[in-house]
Amino acid sequence: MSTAVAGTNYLNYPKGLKSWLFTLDHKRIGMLYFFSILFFFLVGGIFALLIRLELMTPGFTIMGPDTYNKVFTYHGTVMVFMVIIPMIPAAMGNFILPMMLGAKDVAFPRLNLASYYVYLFGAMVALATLFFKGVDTGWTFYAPYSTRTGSAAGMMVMAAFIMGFSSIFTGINFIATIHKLRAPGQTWTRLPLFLWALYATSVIQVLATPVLALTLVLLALERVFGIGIFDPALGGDPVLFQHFFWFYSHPAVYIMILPAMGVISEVITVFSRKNIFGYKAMAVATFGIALVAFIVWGHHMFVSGQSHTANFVFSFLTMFVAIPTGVKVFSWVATLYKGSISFYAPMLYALAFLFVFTIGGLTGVVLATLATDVHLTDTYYVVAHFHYVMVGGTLMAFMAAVHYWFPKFFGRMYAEAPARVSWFLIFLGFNVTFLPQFIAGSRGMPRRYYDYVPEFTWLNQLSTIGSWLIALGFVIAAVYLAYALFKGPKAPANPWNSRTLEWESESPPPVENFSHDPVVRHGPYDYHWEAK
Amino acid sequence: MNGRLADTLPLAASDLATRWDDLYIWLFYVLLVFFFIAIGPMVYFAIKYRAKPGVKSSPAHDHNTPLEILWTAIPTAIVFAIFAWGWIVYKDMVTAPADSIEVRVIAKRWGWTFQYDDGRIFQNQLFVPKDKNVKLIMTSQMDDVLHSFFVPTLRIKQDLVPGMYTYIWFNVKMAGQHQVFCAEYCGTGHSGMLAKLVVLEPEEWQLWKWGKEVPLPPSVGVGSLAELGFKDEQLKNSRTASLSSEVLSDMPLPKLTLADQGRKLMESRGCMSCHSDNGSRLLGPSLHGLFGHETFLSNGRTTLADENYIRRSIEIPQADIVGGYEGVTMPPYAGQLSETEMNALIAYIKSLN
Amino acid sequence: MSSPHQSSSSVEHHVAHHFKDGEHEFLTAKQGMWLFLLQEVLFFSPLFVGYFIFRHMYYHDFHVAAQQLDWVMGAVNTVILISSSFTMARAVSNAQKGKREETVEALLFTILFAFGFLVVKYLEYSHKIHAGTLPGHFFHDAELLKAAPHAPLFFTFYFAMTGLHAIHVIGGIGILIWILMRARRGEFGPKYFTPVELTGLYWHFVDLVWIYLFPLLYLVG
Repeated sequence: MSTAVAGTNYLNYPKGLKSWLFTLDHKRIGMLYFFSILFFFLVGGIFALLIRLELMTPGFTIMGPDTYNKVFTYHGTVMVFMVIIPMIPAAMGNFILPMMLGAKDVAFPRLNLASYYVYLFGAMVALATLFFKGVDTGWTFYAPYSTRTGSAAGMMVMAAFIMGFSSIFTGINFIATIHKLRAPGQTWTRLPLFLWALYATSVIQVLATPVLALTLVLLALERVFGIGIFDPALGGDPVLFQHFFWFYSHPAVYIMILPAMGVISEVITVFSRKNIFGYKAMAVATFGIALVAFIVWGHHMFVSGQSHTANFVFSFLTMFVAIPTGVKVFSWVATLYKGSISFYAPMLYALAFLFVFTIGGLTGVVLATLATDVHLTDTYYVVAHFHYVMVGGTLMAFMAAVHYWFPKFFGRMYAEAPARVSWFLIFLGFNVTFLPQFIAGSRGMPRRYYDYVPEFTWLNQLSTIGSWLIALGFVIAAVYLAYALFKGPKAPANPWNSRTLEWESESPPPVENFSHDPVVRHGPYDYHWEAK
Repeated sequence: MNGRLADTLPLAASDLATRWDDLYIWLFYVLLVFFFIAIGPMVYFAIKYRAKPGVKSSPAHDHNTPLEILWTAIPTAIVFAIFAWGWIVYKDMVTAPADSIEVRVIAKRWGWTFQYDDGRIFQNQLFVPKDKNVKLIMTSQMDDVLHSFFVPTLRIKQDLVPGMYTYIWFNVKMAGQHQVFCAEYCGTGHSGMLAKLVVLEPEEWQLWKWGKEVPLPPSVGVGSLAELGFKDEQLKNSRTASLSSEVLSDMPLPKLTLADQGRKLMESRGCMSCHSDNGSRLLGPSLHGLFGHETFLSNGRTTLADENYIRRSIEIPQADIVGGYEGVTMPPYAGQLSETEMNALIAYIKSLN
Repeated sequence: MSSPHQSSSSVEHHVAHHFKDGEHEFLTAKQGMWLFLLQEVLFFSPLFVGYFIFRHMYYHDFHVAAQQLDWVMGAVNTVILISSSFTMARAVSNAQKGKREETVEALLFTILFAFGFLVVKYLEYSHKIHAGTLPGHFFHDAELLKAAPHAPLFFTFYFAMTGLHAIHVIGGIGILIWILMRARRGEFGPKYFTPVELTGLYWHFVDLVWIYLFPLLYLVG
């Protein structure tokens, strides 16, 4: 194992491609994840732009229905399994979690590296399906369509299976690390909320992912051998697939959003110089959401043919999600009270998160309500809702995290002015894209429609224009971040005056994270500590 | 009601659709209030407490127990009120009145088949009378995939699943052609899998019932701008039948009603040698008075003899043996009957009440 | 707990740099293993849930189909696996005491039992392939199909559940052989026996799954 040499950091020591590819350093693995995810985000984004372009006009615009079906399937699969799920835990979390704890590494570095390669392999298999006629099932793989379509669905399903293990490995690693590798003084009540969020996320990853993994194996076996579990002609039950699928995929939604909420807690406190409002309620709410996640999957199936009693129960239980979520939103806003707020890019993204996520959360209540869901489910209303949560929520939080930790990751500062322009374009473009989709949906436009009735044309065109604004925003972000990466001014150890442990180390950190063993003497958001 | 908000919804063509709108609009305003309660202070604080030289943030104000209890308890009460209202409307949306006219729906990629009690079959056109309760008994063809029957102007939607029956009902207050969409992704022709729900005035409905020429009413609500069908060539070809015509020409009634077709089928398959139609016990249980009643099974359970039960008992007789008939084996008919034949059999059994 | 004179550790184990000491490393690894096993439980769970659902739906067919299984074979395998768990426990306790010979011997027996289990499984599978009692489309026992049209679904679950379990046994054999070789090199002793302990946990889990499978498939049916 390499030891710290004066003047070196994790980026420049040890040198060589091999030292990166076989690294056991959590920071480097985090960076491998980070750049892989950026690549897949580009891929998924291109598919998104193609969808929007096709929907510019009713009927054929740039592609036929079969191509369109594949394009939206790849957009969904790439974004869900390769981007949003690992985006914050595996990339940001891998780098930050041990540093926030004051540890030298995660508990199982080799498992960590394995998780990255498992992820990469799964992602490669998923993209390889493009060369085998592609996949047209949608990212939900509903049976019996998925068992009967002639596309490479079996291969895609196995890719999702493989990537699932990457997620499980990361989850196991994070839980053990948080339990066993906290620095002296890093008590449970001093744990930054980002870590509480990662802990809750990991619990979901470990408990829910294997259910999906086995379900996908059964689906693949169904395709290859016709084993009959999901095939009504052989006595099986296609609705059972939906139960198994959503038992994972609903908690998976919280795998996507909880880490984002963690990021927001960090950023809001730092940039308003205030302790988080209601720390304990925040931590409890995080776990509340994670636990409720496991008992609400049936709300995706109100019109699937499941019994009315089941619908009653699932609608009732789903209402419990709203309560801790509301507590979190109110607490973030209350944190701003009597703060000293500065509007750097991370904070702008955090405020955008609050705005957009609140809309996403509230429309979730509309969909949890039995009667209203019947008309709105499987329409663009649902599409808009989950984009408000996953893009407006997770992606905004990811952008906040990237800007917030950029100095720590790379030891350089990004330029604030273009960051604000890019933020504005992304925020504006996002709302222009997805607000019209709520209206298209409530007016009755079903989702996954290649063609649509003429009434919906202007709404779709607005949405398409919005998608270009988002794209422009991200292009600007890519340019100034890439510039900062190589030419940006050197970053100090703690440019934002944060209180969490990762900022006590240099930027970028040395190989062993800290030059001295850290000891925690104050809470994570104690911005008035010196004064005492 | 609020005009602008109602603009975001399609025309409401039934009482339940109006009740749905009331719920939705109330919900919208409740959630809007919550949105402003959260985002209003956010904007206000962001402006008021922006960093100023020499002004430090407050070290206090990081908790307030009464406030936290309040913003936990009030939303809790409200979401459960929302839940309750949602359930009340939903319950009525899914409970078909007993006097409903029944139509059987079979979906397959990419078209809809509507089978009537008088024995007629229509493709992609569902004729119903105005102001009458109509119940649809729906399934997707066994070798097909999931579909979903969605009528935006009625705010109703229900998936169709191969191998089982699902139900939906409505009572339309507005004559006209209402757009039916498929709302569950089903492949190439998904967005072209359309039908028209043709709601007829009573006089036209009588003509239709006699199989006479009927003038078709105009399209209403969502889809009324569409030139009946889509522009895309590929989708057009995937359609099972064309919709465009202003008049439905004579649609003569077949010789046999659906139930008669079922009886004939039973006779030709030899079912009647074991199942009587008059309550007398042959080798198997009689079909008389079976439908819609509780049936005692050999395993001690009872089950309601609905469409799903009858279908299962024909396809897999061993699954549920009627009490008192243990040891009697009937050959399974799984895979041997078409969906229309199965509908005819069930209609016949139903007619024996 | 440690008895220095017996310690035969000839290869020194280095504690990874991010742990305080060997004990810290051991406890962390053990927690990781428990989390992995928790994941395993949920990995098996859809099969159990699916089995219960379909058994409820097609009670008669599943009952008839289950008669095709040979409960004697199942019982023999249960005894074999319980014995292997016993020898595995011996291996762990010997490794902890630094008794190299005894550890190797106990591991050897565990591996032998595991192979024994697979041989019995092989006999059962080949009998079923011969009889045509196979999952879904592959099922070709016309007689049984008549009596129980959903027998193929039962065999889907039978093969999926026992197959997934057998894959775990085969994986376990691989790990046991690796541990055996390390034990022979004398890598384990009172200070370091983590791999043996973790393999033991895994092996007991595999055993436990079978304890559930045996009555569920062979006896209850």
